[in-house]
Amino acid sequence: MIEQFFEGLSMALRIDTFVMMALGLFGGMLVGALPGFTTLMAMAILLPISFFLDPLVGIPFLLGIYKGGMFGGSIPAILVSMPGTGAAVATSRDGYALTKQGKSRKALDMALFASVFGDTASDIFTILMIFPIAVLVMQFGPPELFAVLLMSLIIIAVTSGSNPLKALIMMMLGLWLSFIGTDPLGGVERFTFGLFELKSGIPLLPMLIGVFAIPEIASVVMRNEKTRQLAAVMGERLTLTELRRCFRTIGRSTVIGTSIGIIPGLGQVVAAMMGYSAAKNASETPEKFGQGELEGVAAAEAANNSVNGPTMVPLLTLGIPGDNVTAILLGAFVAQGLRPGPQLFDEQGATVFAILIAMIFGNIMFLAIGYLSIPLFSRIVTIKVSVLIPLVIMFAFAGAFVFRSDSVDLLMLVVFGIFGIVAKAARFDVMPMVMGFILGPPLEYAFGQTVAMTNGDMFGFFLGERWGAATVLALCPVFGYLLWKRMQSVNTA
Amino acid sequence: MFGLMKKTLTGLVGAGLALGLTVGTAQAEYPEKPITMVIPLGAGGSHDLNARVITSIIPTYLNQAMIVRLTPGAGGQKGTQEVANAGADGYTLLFTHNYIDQLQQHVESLPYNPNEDFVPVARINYAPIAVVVRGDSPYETMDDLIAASKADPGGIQMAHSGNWGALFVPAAQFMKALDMQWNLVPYQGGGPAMQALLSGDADVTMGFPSTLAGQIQSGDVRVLATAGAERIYDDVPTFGEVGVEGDVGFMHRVVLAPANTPKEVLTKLEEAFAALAEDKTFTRMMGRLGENVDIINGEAYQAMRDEQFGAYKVLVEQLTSQ
Amino acid sequence: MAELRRTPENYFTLTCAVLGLIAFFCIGWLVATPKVLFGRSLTAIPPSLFPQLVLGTLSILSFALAWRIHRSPPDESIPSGIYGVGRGAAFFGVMTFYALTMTPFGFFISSALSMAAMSVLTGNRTIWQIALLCLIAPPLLYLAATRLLAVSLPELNAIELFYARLLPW
Repeated sequence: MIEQFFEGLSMALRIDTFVMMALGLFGGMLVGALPGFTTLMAMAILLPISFFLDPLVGIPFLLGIYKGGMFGGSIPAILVSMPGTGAAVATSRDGYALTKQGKSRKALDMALFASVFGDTASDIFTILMIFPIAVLVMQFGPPELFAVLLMSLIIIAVTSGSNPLKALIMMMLGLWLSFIGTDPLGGVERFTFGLFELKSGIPLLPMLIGVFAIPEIASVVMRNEKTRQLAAVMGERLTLTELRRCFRTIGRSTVIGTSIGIIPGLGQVVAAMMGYSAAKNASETPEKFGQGELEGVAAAEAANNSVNGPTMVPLLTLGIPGDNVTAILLGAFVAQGLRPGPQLFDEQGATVFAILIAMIFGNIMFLAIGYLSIPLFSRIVTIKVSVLIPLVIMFAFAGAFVFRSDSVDLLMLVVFGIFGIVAKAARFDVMPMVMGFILGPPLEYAFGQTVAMTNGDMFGFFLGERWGAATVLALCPVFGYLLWKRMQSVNTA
Repeated sequence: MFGLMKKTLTGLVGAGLALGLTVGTAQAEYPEKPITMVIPLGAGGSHDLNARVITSIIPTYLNQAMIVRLTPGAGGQKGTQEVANAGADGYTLLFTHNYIDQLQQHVESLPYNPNEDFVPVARINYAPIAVVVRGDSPYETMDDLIAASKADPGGIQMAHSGNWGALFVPAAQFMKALDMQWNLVPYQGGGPAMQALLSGDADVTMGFPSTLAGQIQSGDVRVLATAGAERIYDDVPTFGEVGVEGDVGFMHRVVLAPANTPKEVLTKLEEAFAALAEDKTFTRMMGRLGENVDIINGEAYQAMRDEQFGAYKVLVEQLTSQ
Repeated sequence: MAELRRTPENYFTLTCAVLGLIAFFCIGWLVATPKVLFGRSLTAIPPSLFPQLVLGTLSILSFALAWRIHRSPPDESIPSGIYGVGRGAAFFGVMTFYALTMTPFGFFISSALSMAAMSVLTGNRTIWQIALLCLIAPPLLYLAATRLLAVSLPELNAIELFYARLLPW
């Protein structure tokens, strides 16, 4: 094992690997910055190209696109409040607030540092602990997933914003919206009113753009200050002091994100929100979160990136991809003659280590690539509003269409835009709604699976076999109450 | 302000009309522009991977690119409907499998008719499924499993990839043919189902031998039976040998085109796919993915489709009658 | 008992409460029933379980919130009334137009028209700037999307052929 590691290390140090990774990172960042044009698509398109390249060049290239894309998604989230993925929602909260204060550059810098740190740390952790993690992953099944998801929803409802009651209401609304379409367990139609368009449910991206970006754009349009820019300046770079202040948060978020990455089925969205909530809870000034607090950006970004490392473990050790991205990586591995699974480390350990090590180098490279690209991106806010807004609308609509190649989604975009504005006027925060929408389906699915597994005797099942899940479930109301009390004590003013 | 708007709008509309009136040239050789291959399933699945290989090699035979468009949703209906409604000019094709194509119509009402609205272009390959248990499970042979299942109806947990999917249907057929009950627990695909087996949440599942190779070799899983007329592994019986007869457990990956596609277009496509079968790079890549290559043309597959139609109708009636 | 204040907040809350209640009781119309396999339902939990739970909770919480708001004094800190309603309506008009015309008119035309309208709405008066923006940006994005990223955007056949002849690839 150790010899394989060092062999891999030497294999990874080649120019073409680094060059292709850099290309992937940069390209991925650009694609990720376009909401709707997902990096998943980009990876899938470029997958065949990787077939013809050396595995040590092709696979790092794909990984580069993935990593670049994840950061790319934060760019529109911060600059124009347009998160392209659920994971970027938490970032857009404080990120866009910072942009409005003229600190867009700081926000982007922080997102970059936090992302790279979280990613690198979790990758190193994965490499060192790959087999213990594999064992841990096996401990989690549907009951555990259900319990953790429920806990996450409660935490999100109680800690986001200042009014848990309103947050819960929005979350219920979001959950209900997620039920529209076909029920994930039985495939029967729910709330579709016979419309075929609704049969596959409400798409996420038009909703995200609609509730987050459109109200902001509308408020700019309605105010009509003619030569106004989105923000007065793009701001200065992040200072070392500011970064140092967030070290603890970044560290905490990385731990949270990595832990969440180990549990199959949770993903970046939960990680980002948990990191964010934890940081808010631990801070002395939680009311600043959401108004433009750099720590918020740091917490969300570090968490959602540190999910990546452990996600690779089931892929590498069992050959089972956990999500769409790892499925594409599986295809890339297999096409190159690498067979992920129990055999992988025995037969080709060096190559695998080389790829993982290249991934770490890629992260570090990205620090430079991102840092140099950020001034370009943050300049966007200085474009004249009358030019920027039409462009943003065009990208928003194009992205909403491209997401599912369905023109109905454009109407969904408009409808959710209206909803976003109404919610804003009614002083309801849309973030819990979006979280309910995203986490609703896995929650219900995990519950359905659990009930199927118990074969009738739920109580006995939980207490007998899955006491871990039972414990988490029992803690839910406790956590909810404690956090509620904490938020209340800070908010009473 | 309105004068300005009017002028700009008129100018733009005028330009648009001018372009719109540009009459296209007469019917040139197909294909003139890139072809879209719609996949009604999600990204990263075996269909997606197969399609990526196909679309990276077939352009050499068609002299035009073939672009994959993933349109998952409603169990495959969204993508299928899109192609059913698309123009029958050969520029939009559907890459699907037999369960979506022929079985779904018996389970729910569809906004299209698979047999009237589509014609097959080519069947790319097929994958036989296998019944697997964990390496350390007490079931050494299929008979052991059957005996245990009969003794404890509903006690054996079977992980499948979704209702009426490629693992569910063979499982239901098994339960019917052998008169036994498994507790069917759904998972989001074959991968999670396999993970459930390995982690102990499930006692039995099914999988495609191509993806199982690593686990079989390491002894993590044991194959109890495989689909098909011949044995895939020397010491493992076929479905027929353990008592489950008929066309069970095959997933055929097939390319369909809208029903009224012109004959010349279909011929061109079929030729391209036939050439693909001979292409060395193609076979090599598919081999790497663990898939076989058994391209049969549209007519030959249509015969199979007709058979499947009848068989699935009977199957669904039997399964849901109680 | 004082009257319920007519704020957006109240409207929203009460709408949630009432709709939730209605949906909860009409669940039979809204959710289909699953099929049966070998005498057991195909799903472990009925598809109406979670929806009813959620709708019920939504209703209860909304009523609770409405009650809380009713009892607490009005919050004078938020300015009531929205400025620029006309512009807001125009904004949504343009967006709806864009959404409805993208497929029939194609990406280029619908984008150009919508962007022109948005430019004027946000205060641009310079024709050449608007023209430049509306005529250059959509084709660029379209070509990048379809050629580089291999995704499809709706476009008129004529314009698509125009691109195909204009470019070598």
